[in-house]
Amino acid sequence: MTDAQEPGSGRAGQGRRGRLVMGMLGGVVVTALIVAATLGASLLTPSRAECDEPGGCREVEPRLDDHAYLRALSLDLRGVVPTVEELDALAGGKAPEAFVDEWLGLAPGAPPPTEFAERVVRRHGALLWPNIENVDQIFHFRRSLSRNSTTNIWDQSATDTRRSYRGAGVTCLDEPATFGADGRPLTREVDGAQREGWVEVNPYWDPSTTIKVCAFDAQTAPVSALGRDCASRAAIGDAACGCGPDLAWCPTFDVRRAVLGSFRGDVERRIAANILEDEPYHALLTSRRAFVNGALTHYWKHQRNSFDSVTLVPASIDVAALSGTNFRDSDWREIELPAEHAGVLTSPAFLLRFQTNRARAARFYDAFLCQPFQPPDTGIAPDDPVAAQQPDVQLRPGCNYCHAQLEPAAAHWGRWTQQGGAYLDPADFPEFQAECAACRLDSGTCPDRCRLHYVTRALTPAEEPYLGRLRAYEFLRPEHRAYIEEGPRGLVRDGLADGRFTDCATRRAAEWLVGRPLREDEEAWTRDLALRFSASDFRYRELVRAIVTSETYRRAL
Amino acid sequence: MTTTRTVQICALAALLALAFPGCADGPVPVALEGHDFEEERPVDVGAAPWRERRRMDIAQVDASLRRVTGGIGWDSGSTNQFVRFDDTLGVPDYINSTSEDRAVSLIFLKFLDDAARSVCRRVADREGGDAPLGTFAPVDVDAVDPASADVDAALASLLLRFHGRRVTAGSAALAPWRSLYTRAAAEVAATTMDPERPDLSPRRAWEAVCVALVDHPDFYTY
Repeated sequence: MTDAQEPGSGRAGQGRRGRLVMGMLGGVVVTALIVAATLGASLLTPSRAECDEPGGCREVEPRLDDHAYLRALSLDLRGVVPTVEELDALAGGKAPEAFVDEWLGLAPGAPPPTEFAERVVRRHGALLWPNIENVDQIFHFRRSLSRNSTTNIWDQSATDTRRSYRGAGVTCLDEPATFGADGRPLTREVDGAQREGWVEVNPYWDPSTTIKVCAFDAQTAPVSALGRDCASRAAIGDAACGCGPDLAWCPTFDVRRAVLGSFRGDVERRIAANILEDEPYHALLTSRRAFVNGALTHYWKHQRNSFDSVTLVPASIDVAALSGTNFRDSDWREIELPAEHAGVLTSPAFLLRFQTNRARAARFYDAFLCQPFQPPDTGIAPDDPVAAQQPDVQLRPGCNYCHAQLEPAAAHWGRWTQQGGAYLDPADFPEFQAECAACRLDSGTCPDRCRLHYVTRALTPAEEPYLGRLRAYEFLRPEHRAYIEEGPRGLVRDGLADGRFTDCATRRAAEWLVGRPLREDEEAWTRDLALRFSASDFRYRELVRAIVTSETYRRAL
Repeated sequence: MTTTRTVQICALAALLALAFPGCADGPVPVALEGHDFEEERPVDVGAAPWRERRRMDIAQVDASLRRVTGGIGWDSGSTNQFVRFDDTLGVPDYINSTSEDRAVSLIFLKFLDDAARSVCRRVADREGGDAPLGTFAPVDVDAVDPASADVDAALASLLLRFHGRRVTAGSAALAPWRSLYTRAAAEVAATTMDPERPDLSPRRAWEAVCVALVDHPDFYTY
């Protein structure tokens, strides 16, 4: 039923009508048989189908009657069928459009349209794909706490971590720990390992409980004897560092899941807030608003620096300004992000779901400009050996079909780290760093800041001019250099300026509500919708109202 | 061609019953009916643009079931079964899938029927218990032989609640539903009535009507 339909000629309509009727009749037969099974008896004797009875079959009129129309409106705008009381009010003379205004929060005195906001959030899931539950590499695996199901003692169960504490990949002894004069846990040799006992801790994820934790893992020193920050990944493997006060630096499986799920919750609340506050729709992609709860606050304050292969460091928010320390605090607080942010396009959920700048740009182009990157129907000619040597994909035959446009678009995320979601402040990460250009030649090893964010290798002569430059500048044309500092806001601005964003937002909303791709002969309708959308200062609720009160919406086939 | 289509539909129904034997205690005898559907009649629906009539998404099914039943959903303990089976039901997780499958598939119909059976049993038992909400009003669900006018009124009320369809008493549109109720009630009446066996009480006929209302395309499409 969701397939694209051919332009609605009368003949095509006949077929559609016939399939619908047959589908409904088939449903009746199936229903009858299911009911028979429900009763556990051979209930049904031969009888006539519903539509054999004159008048027994509902007339399928292309233009919905008020009741069917209200039902469709209620399901699309609120996600649930109307109440009997609402249907009675309709029969009493209340116009369907009056319900629309109530449910969209457009009627005077109407309550906030929370149900509609929830539907819009759900709809935008299909545009933003905000699930990052599989991106747990923002936590270092060696910091992961788990409970031994036999002894109920918690420790960092990675073999290497256990080995760094005890000289072997074993956990601690099931006995209370003792400590030396220097405060370090005392150990005794058991089976060749130096094993300590446990201590009792009230963990940050549930301070009301007391758990047993291996004493090495429960160490609270902020800095090790070697001068390492025990809350950072640099201290992993340092036996003088543990999980910190209340185990704050170490996640559990449930903690990881809560944090990653909360990043999704942040995006969903940004979308809902855009609707509930009746803001311009494009503010969703340019706003500095974000939301944090207890889990996210704890992550930013205590766990962001112990990342594995995916990092949100340097943090793109003012961590010191975050208030609250209760991990389990489920209340969401609105915060204002620094100026470089661009709404959901720089949210951790988006950046971690799409971990390359090309993927970020491609998702934006598809979802918000209706311009998916895809090869031509005729295909792309295979590279010849000479062309394959071209390192610049904007020029390489075949690749350039998409990348001539994709590379400049991706540059808008040039200051946001790939394989992560950190922000590279120009003050700390200038376009060019001599040490990053020289480190390869000098020693063969480059510091992390060079290795991760700057061009430090040149496989071809064409790449050599970019050594020491921020990765985003590699092969970037002079006319595109400004994109890096503009950030994704620049893409939104350009889309608004030439109308692509407005047209696409209109098209996406219309296709959502009419349940099919729009046809070429509906261009006049969508153009009118886009003009009204623009005239309303891009109020999404007004756009949806215009769509669901149209004759197109009310004609359901 | 008519015969072929009838056989196809019956085969579909039989497959549905046979494909999920775990849903009942042992084989369930099902008497297949023959139906003669007339050929498709050409109807001119014009060339004007339209909205695609489509299946509810799973969240809509879940919320709507709770609404029409007065708060009873497809739950097992504290677990919402629509959430538990969301992957199977085509709800996107945005990692492996990015759009919801809204096809009226056999899988969807199977799970919808599971939901209907679960929900409608509890609705019927609630209405026959100490705190009824009047879902089947004006009928007392445990009445052995309710007045036909009351049955019609109850069916009209149910059609409005479940399908958003307003019909008047005596309307021909009530005929198939009245027939379903009458036959289900007769089947229940033919069994031994045992006060200790509420599973055999007259309310089971109303439970059957409830299941049929949920399984009907007028419930899950819009």
